Amino acid sequence: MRRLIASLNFAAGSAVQNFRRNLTVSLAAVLTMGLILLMAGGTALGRHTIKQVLETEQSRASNMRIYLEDGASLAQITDFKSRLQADSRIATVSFMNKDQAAKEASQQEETFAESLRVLGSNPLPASLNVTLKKETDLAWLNGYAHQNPIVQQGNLATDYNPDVINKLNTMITVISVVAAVVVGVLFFISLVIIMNTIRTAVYVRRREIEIMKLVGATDWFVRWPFLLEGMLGGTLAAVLAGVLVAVSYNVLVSTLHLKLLFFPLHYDGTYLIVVLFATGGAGILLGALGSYLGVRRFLAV
Amino acid sequence: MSVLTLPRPALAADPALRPVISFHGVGKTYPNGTTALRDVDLAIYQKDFVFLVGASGAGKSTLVRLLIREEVASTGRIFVDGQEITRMPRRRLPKLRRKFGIVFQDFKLLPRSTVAQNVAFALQVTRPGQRHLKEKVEEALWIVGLEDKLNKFPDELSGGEQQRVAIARALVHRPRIFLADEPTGNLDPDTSWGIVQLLLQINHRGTTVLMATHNREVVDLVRRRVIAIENGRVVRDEHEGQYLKEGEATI
Repeated sequence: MRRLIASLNFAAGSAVQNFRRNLTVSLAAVLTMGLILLMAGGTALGRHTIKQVLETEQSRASNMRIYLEDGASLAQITDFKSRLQADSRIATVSFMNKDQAAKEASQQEETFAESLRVLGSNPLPASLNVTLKKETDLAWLNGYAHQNPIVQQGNLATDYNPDVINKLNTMITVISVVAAVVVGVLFFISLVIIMNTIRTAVYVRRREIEIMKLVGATDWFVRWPFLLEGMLGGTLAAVLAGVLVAVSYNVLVSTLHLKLLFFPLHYDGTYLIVVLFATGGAGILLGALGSYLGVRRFLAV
Repeated sequence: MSVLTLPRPALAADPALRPVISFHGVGKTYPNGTTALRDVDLAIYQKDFVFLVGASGAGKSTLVRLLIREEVASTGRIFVDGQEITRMPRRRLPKLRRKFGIVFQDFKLLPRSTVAQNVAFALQVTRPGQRHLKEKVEEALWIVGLEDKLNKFPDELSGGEQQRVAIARALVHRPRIFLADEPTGNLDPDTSWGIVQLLLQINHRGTTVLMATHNREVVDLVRRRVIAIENGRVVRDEHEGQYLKEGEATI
């Protein structure tokens, strides 16, 4: 235990010293790694946000209101409702009578209650509100409902907006592909830069390494400071990227929320924490991998 | 031609009689085709003090490098402390090297570390967490007579003092064998004599000393065992030898 702590202490001290002695090269490595982590973290959050919007849009879209003829009897309605409920494509069915429809409309539009009083009767139809499991079944439901005589003819009410969903889907694909390519390229660039950093550190320490080998230090004892140096760089890069990701996510979400009121956009703190942890882990792994390759390539022990 | 005064070494069963170092038909040819050593046989025993002499390029340094397995012999077998080292796996090399204390002509000190730190370094990297580190470092520096220069940096010391620091570093882990490759190569005669006396003193404490050298005066004055190498072959091995073979002309 005492030996382990002393070894770790030695390796950590050397790693910090290496980092400071080649500050320029080390910082270049940290910045590249930071950039790649920023891209990866930002993409993950961006994708997640668009997905959130998409899911809300899709759940809205899969809602359909089937308006019923005023003359429909309760038995007919119950029968139709249970047939709908029995269908595997349908998630939920709920009934809304004329009064409830009027109440809902009054809540949404204040003048509606006034109009109703003037009109003296309620023109709103009763309806069955159906939620589909998949919005692609909307066309089928439309056709199916219209076969029933108690259903009002004409289009059924739905929030389905195929344009928005398609656009969002395309956006997700484009963002994912572009980010994957950029992150991939940056990944290799940062590996090369870390390897170069290790090469410089090995060169600066060549005399110490020579003495260490001479007096009988083990290979791993010689390697550890360089591996730790890479991991230190990776950690710094992750902190840098994490702070930038968290701050810009916060700012972007609140700004967009103000500008696009109708957009179902909201801040997901849990997901942000997951992304931050993943960024940290990725940073340490990236640093460790780069320096491991560097040590293997440039350290003849 | 060669005057071998010692018999070819054999592996003695009794550990007390077993050589600390033995070479059996050792040859070394470098990848570029240069042959540095040919068919070397020799045995060095505990408490021996051996001068390894020969012209530059004769193969002295190669012999030292083979001993600490910085190079691998092309032919033959080398034993250190009863262990065959030519086929020793890499992971066991650190343990092999800890049997040696090694100094070189160029001292190999860390310029940014103090005298005490330079000596401590050898223990820190081989025995992390070593207890009484400070005392051990001070003791080693006391042996070489530098106990009052603990906090000096190498460039504040003379060449002889720097070599003494290197010797202290090589001694601090109490090695079985002390290897010195041209330790006086960069030093003036007086300083060189001081270093050799120090090595004799270390030998007197029971450590085997093998010193490769060009320093004729020192060898002739000390009169210890001399192994002469020429063109990669051992041409002379005498108990109380001189730098040159008796009657050999000075160049």
